[in-house]
Amino acid sequence: MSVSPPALRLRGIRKAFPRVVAVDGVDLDLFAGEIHALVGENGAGKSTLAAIAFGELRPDSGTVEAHGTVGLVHQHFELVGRLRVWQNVLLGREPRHGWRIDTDAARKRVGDLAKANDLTIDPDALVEDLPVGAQQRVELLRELERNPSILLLDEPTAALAPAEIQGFFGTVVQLAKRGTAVLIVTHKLQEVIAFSERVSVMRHGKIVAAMRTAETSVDAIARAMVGGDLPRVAQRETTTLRPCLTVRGLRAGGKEGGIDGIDLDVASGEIAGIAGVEGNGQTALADSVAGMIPFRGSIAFSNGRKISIIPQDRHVEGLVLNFTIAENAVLGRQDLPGLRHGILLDRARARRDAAAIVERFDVRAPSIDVKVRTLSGGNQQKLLVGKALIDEPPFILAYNPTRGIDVGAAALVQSRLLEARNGGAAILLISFDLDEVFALADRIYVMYRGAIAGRFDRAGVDRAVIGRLMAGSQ
Amino acid sequence: MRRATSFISGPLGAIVLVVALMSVAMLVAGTSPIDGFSALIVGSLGGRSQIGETLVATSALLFPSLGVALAFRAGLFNIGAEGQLLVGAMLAGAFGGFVSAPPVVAVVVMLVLGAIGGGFWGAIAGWMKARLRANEIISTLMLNFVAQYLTLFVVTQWLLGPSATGAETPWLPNNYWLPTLIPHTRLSIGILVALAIAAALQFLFTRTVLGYEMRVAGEAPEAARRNGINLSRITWLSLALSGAIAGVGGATIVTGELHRFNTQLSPGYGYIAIAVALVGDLDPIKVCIASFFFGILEAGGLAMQASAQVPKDAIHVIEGLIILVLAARRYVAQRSERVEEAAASS
Amino acid sequence: MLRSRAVFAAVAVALILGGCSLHHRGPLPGQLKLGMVTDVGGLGDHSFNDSAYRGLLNSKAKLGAYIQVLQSRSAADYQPNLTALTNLHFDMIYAIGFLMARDLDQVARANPTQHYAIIDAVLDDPNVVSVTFKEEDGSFLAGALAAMMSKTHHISFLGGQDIPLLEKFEAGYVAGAREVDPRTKVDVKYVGSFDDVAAGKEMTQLLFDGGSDIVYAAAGKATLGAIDAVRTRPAGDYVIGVDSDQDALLPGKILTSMVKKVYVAVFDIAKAIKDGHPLHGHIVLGLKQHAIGLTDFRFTRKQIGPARLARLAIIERAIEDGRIVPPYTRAGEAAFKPVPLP
Repeated sequence: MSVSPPALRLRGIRKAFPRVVAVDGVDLDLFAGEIHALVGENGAGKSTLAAIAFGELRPDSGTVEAHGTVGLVHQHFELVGRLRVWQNVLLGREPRHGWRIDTDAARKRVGDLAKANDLTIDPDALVEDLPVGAQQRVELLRELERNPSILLLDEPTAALAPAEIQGFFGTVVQLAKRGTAVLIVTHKLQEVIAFSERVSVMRHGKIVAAMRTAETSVDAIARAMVGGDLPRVAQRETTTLRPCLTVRGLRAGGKEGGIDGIDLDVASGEIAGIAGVEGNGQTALADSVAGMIPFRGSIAFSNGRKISIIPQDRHVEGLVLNFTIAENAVLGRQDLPGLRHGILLDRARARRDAAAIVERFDVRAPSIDVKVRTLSGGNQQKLLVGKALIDEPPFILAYNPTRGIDVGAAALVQSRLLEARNGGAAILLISFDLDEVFALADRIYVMYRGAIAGRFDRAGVDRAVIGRLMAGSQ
Repeated sequence: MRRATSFISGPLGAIVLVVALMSVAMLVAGTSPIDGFSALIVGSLGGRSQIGETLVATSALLFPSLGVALAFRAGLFNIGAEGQLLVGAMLAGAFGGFVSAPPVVAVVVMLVLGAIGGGFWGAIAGWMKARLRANEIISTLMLNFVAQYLTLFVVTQWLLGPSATGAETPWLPNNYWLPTLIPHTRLSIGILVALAIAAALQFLFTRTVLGYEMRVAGEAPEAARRNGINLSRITWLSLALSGAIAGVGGATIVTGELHRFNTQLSPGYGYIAIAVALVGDLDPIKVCIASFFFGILEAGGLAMQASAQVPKDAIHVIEGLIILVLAARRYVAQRSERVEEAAASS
Repeated sequence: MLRSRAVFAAVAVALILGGCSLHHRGPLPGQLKLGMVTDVGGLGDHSFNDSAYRGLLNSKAKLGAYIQVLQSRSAADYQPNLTALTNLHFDMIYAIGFLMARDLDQVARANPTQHYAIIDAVLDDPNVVSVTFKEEDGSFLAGALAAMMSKTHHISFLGGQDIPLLEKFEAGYVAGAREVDPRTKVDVKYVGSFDDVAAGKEMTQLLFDGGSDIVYAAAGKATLGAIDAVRTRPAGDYVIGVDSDQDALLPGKILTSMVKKVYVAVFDIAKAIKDGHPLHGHIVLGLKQHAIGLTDFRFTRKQIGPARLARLAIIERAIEDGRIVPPYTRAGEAAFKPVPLP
């Protein structure tokens, strides 16, 4: 393997954007037949590097040598929902019959390609009707159609259920066996250990570690990513449980992504976790509990409707990007007696709170007077969580509290949530990250197609069973 | 490339560009730009009377501009300051022209009626948006036309002054006039009212919960909704306040400048106010400065016509150009912001 | 970057060259500077403002004056326009029309060293020359001619707005008709506006339909509507124009125009300044001063005929020498007794 020249050879790659050096002198070799994992925190430069390798971005300096065609599967799907699978796969390269598209030949070509790669898919299905996992397969198929000798996968499993992840990697391993060079950009370290042969770790635009997967561990990779030890996660303490939230027969939302008859209990002093693949009604559940959408059934809080929310989309729902940290620290709390005196907003108190959040939640910023827009995603999320927890609320709704943030920030957020639980808060945790649900929840509900497919206590939990329930099988 | 765009997007670049475009406009109109500009500057700042005229225009623009800025800060595109100003002015003129009261009381009542009239007119659009989800850009714009014809109808039908030509209310008694601020000019103390409102807005935005909620609603409506801010309330309240400020402005034109209500008392202050508010970055203090700048253009434009024979309408061409340059500036700034964000999150 | 700089340089050069090649349009030192603010009728009203502008043009031609006109789009423009001219230090600023009286009063008080003139209104500010006309003189002649010409013995008066100034027109016209033929019926109507051309046309049609065959339209710009209305009337129906000589607007259908020679007043005031003894106070101009009168009937002389023209000339002389004093109020008109003339 190492005697043949690399299929993809990157030397001295550097790429700077107006305020940040995204990639800073990277060398990387990718060999035919290997699966190479590229890991790193958000903002480490992984996606930029992948885009440079693919030729989508031009580096400021450095060279890219590729032997053979390169395919790139994007983090966000780039499919046309209103077109059929075969139309998406062959977009712009349809076989022609004179001036017409030869539909029969096209369908056959896509069908054959799917079969050859063990991808089950109906070439005539409308892409918008397909589940996320199948869409991912279409995305992959589209790249495979070009018969690439080098395949770049940018966070390919971000939206997939565990079973779908297994299937996806099955295909990738097959491809590698047939001689394709595969580079997977990811931050899911379990997948790295399970499927890759080599792993390169990026931090601040540089490759800081390159290892053989067989000789390393999740811990070692994580330490390299963070550049030190992870913050210690708080201990789970014994708490006395008192009922807090009782949900009965809840129906809300439309046909797609709605919920239909959900029963749920969250007690003070516990974290109830909702496991499930995105799009199975979690948003409708969260919005009904938050009082944002109309619903039928009952949602009862035993000690008043005092809820604090860590919303799903921090950019749109949780923070005002053009406001400073101090201004954002007030958001959602502007009516609290301590912050509001008559018509006036207590600015001194707001600044004290902001400073407290910044300190307790380790929000890294030059001052509390900088705009939130300038903070990294992780720091924005820490601010958001800090704002939700600072008043020690009795009930917390946390929707993907660590999504898209770096490992260090995620560990801190999880730790603070556990501390809130230890302090007697009731927490409803909705997360698409199964590992997070396992790490935090005292009680796990599995959501599938708008209903609760299973309910487990922390003690009696079986990961495989939950994985199957999430994918809709018994 | 980058330097070029940042030059154009900078305020200095905007001024240079506007001056260049103005010069071209003057050449087209057949006047030497040197004559034109000197007439503009001398005519607006060349003496006490000239400065007085500039400040009269500044005052007339400042009210609706502050109103527009307030609504824009709350994310509401109030294009209707013109109509709000007219309705407020008409109520003030109706009172002043027909009702006897102690002078001080009368002046205060006229200003309050201005606020009520303009506020009511703004609140209609607010209510339509909050209740019926009617786009406020359309509704406020349409309400301008309603106001224009409504005031014309009401004045010609019921409020016509004895020696009026066109749609005018009777003149106010002399003791209903706002006192003159600078002797031998037409400048009344109305401009002080405008500055007080600017200060109040600054206070509203920085010190009060309501101002905070308005700003959140303007910057991130979804975040506002999810953080306990009643968007319907913010919507109608912002538009009502915005209209009230424009309406007080109308009332000060009546009691401080024209001393009667005329249906054509505004040469489009409510529309120019949109440009003023944008030039002033929607910031009350900067809007005051921007109003002064536009006041120079308004007063100087007339002088330019009178001495250099450049049609005054050239000034409106210039105002249009300024809006264009500004829009381009914002576009460039937004694009570079987006590029940087994309880079930072990769 | 380089290209944008080149464009910039080119624009700069073009501006400088353009700036040099254009002639200077401002006033020359020592030149008589005359300013004028029109009322909302504006230039092109074929009436009052145009007549004043003619006076300004005469001053330019005969006195070498620098002239400048600011038009008013609404009453709200009066004060800014007057002030803008004031700030440029004209030797005389004319405010055309009584509509501007109160606005001028305010501006004049604020600028006591600037000289102003106002037409058709009387202000007591020491720096304002007020000019009024004896419209009743000309209207009396118009009424007399209309009564002589009417076949139906039924004529009409159409005023702009029912205000004291217009009462002079009305009273003179009605009295003039009675002087000639006491049995002639005179309908009186007001448009309600001086610039609503459409309403002027409609009301003129109503008056014709009501049996009148001659309408005296003293309605500013709205008179143009009256002229439009007579366009489709049968021969023998006429409109009498007002302020400027409007006879040529519709030759043969406009019997005559009651001309108010505002231009005479404008020119006389300018000339007095040039000569070094400017006019002050209140000036009244009438038939005797040749500032009021009818036109020369160049399109209708034949229809009128020498007999009527001779009789009209006799009446004219009687007014000039004071035997006839045309009334200028409705009360005066009611008390007016026809004066027997040879």
